[in-house]
Amino acid sequence: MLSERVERILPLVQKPGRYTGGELNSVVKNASDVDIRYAFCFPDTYEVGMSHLGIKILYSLVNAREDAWCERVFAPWVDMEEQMRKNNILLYGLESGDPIRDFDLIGFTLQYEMSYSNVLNMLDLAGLPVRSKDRKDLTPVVIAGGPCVCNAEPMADFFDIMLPGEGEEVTNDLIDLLKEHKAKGSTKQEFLLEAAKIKGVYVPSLYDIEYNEDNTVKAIKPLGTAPEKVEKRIISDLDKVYFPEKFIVPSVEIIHDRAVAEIFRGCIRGCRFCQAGYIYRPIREKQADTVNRDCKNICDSTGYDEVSLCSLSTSDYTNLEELLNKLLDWTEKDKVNVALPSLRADNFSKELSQRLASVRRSGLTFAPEAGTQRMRDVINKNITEEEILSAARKAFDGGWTSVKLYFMLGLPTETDEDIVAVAQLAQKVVDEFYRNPNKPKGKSVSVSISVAPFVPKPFTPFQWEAQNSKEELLRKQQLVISSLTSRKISLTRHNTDMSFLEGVFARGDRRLSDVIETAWRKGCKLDGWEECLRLDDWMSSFEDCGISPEFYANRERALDEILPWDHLDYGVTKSHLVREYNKAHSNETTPHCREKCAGCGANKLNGGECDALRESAACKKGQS
Amino acid sequence: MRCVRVLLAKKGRAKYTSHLDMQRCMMRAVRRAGIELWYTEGFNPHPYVTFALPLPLGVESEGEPVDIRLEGDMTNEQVRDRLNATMPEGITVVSVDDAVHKPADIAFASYCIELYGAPGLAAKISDALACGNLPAEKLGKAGRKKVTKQINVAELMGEYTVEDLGESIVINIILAAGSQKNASPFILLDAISGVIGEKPEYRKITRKAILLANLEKF
Repeated sequence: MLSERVERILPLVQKPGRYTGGELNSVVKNASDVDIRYAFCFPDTYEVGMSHLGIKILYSLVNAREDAWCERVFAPWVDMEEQMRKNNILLYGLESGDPIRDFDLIGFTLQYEMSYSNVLNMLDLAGLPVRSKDRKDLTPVVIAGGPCVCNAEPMADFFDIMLPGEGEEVTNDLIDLLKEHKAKGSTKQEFLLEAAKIKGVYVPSLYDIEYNEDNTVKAIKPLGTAPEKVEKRIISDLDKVYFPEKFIVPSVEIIHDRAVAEIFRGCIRGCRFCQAGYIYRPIREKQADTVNRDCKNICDSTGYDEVSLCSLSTSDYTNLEELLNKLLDWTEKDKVNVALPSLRADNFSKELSQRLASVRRSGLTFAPEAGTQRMRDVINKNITEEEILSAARKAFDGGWTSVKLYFMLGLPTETDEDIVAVAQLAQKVVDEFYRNPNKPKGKSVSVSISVAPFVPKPFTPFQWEAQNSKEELLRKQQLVISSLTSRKISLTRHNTDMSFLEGVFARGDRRLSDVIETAWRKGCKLDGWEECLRLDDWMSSFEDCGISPEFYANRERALDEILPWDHLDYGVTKSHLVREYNKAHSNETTPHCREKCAGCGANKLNGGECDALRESAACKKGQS
Repeated sequence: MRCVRVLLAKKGRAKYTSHLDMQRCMMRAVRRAGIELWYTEGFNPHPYVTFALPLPLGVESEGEPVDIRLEGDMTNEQVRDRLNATMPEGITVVSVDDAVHKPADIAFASYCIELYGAPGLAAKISDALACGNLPAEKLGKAGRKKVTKQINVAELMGEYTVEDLGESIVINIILAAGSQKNASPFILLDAISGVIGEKPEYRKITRKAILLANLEKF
């Protein structure tokens, strides 16, 4: 319910529907009927946060329990924050309107590094101290999940608990434990010591970090009940895992305003720059029937006219044909559009493109990532120029006239020749259009290329690499621009300031907590929004704390250096990453997991099981 | 294919759903309700769901007309009940009828405006409304250019009453509405504030009805 005080400020802010709650399918319970109140916080705006699949899953999962009530909380935009502070309105849950300060659990999902300062701002708006050690009571327990937790060391001082891995099971484990300790009247420390015993629970305060004189990490020592290594949690059987039957239908348009169903987790590709490709291993698929059921449930309960399949590299889903047949059986009749993001250029078939086009036509996006074959071999993007061009040809044949191409700049071993080749490849795609006799009549082609600076990430073979300096990246961007030869090609560049900060936090250690707090106190927030990013304040905060950001972003690490995330175990072994690092530096590729197991080690998380192993064995048997 | 006119009440939190978002909301509600829509037969088929008169953000309403083209033989009562079973909080279907008048016939709309935190302003407001000159600025177009136009809201007003209830002042007023002449209640309030030089703290506005030129309900 909206309080009178909130009602009064809503006419003064942009898009007030973001702050009202009351959307269809949102869950309202009686606060006195539940033991645990959980505030699920997405540290960005409503439109961004509501588009995230994880929040929809965990929201419904917690609310399926009778003893708990999960509410949503997003970062208010600047105008709303100003009004809230002016009128002493504390950050509240959208479902009840109650201040989240009084909740038992406050969970943040860390999807990208640039949202870190928002976490502090939201805790402060909630009326809570930002540092874990300053929150003395048992509740609220402030926790974090999401991909960044694989190295959220820069945020270690602010969270009580982090949850590496998949959240469906561990969320319930944690709620059960907290309920027990709340009833017992435990202290926060007693609870944290017990929580650390749960698999997949990481309590940052239970690790002592020592540093060398050169500022590298000397040792990571577990204290009390904390394990030497925290192993991430995974869900073994995705066909049995909880998936909601309903999504909240937002009353304000959000970024991905459509039904979404997950088809698999993990990835077989092993692109060496891609953190998601490594930290979500091992690959586990859902069966076509499960996905079809999920899609139908969500469409029926929301009235959405578009459904999207969510995974890394959608076309690697082994049941894709079967699933599309099942989906199109009802989506065509119900006039629902099926969207397939994340297709690979090499196995994108004409039949597939035609079936999808039969419902509605949107743009096509491919990600060659690099301009030359050598560079693509280094990053293990196993795709050839001919495959890219043939995919473009098929797309043009199928009537598409606009193609997006994604590239990265600043990759390890990159030369100017590799950069010029980005523009050349885009030109070849344009040429392909004009060479096509079946091209749509009277229409012109548009090729948009996007160049993003490469940011080395933990748990990838490039975790030891130096990120290009800002100056170098700006020079490289200019080089792409001056190499463009056609007005049919448009270019989007990513903000290099943002990439620099992202690089610092991605591979940072706990000493950066001070910097984040300093910068936030200077007013830094919503850093992922270009209009809000204040690099000068960030740089002066590094200086105030006596910390060099270049040490984290632009320094090449030795392979035997202790890394700030070495006490977290995401399945993939370090020796595998070293192997891949060495292969990258000798331009050698690694075949994908179904072709040949590369022995990454992630299958140990699933009792030795890996869908890719099973499938490649079945595939070989079929051939012999 | 037949066209029905759905009358929607929009109350409480739902008033913060914008005009464009209402269109999406209505489309989804119709789909959830399992009502068979008529689709255009062109290259890119789309349904016909049209709001007769946009409602400003933050204004409640007792009856917003939405025209929908349907297939199948569902009765008006069935359409109403099925929609009501799936509407979000704050939005209810008041009635479903066959469309009689054309949206172009809309001439007026009546509003109830409650002003809070404006003690003793009732007399001043009455005077301002009666003086016949309520200048206001309005964004308009001159050809393709966007310009600010000076208008006199007093020329766009119909009958009105002003009541002082102590805690609040209530204005019931008829304003021009539609594609020819249109005055939003916000422009009226700005114009009044301009004349009396004072602004109430907080206001609640409800559109009571949409009217034809002869003041009959649309």
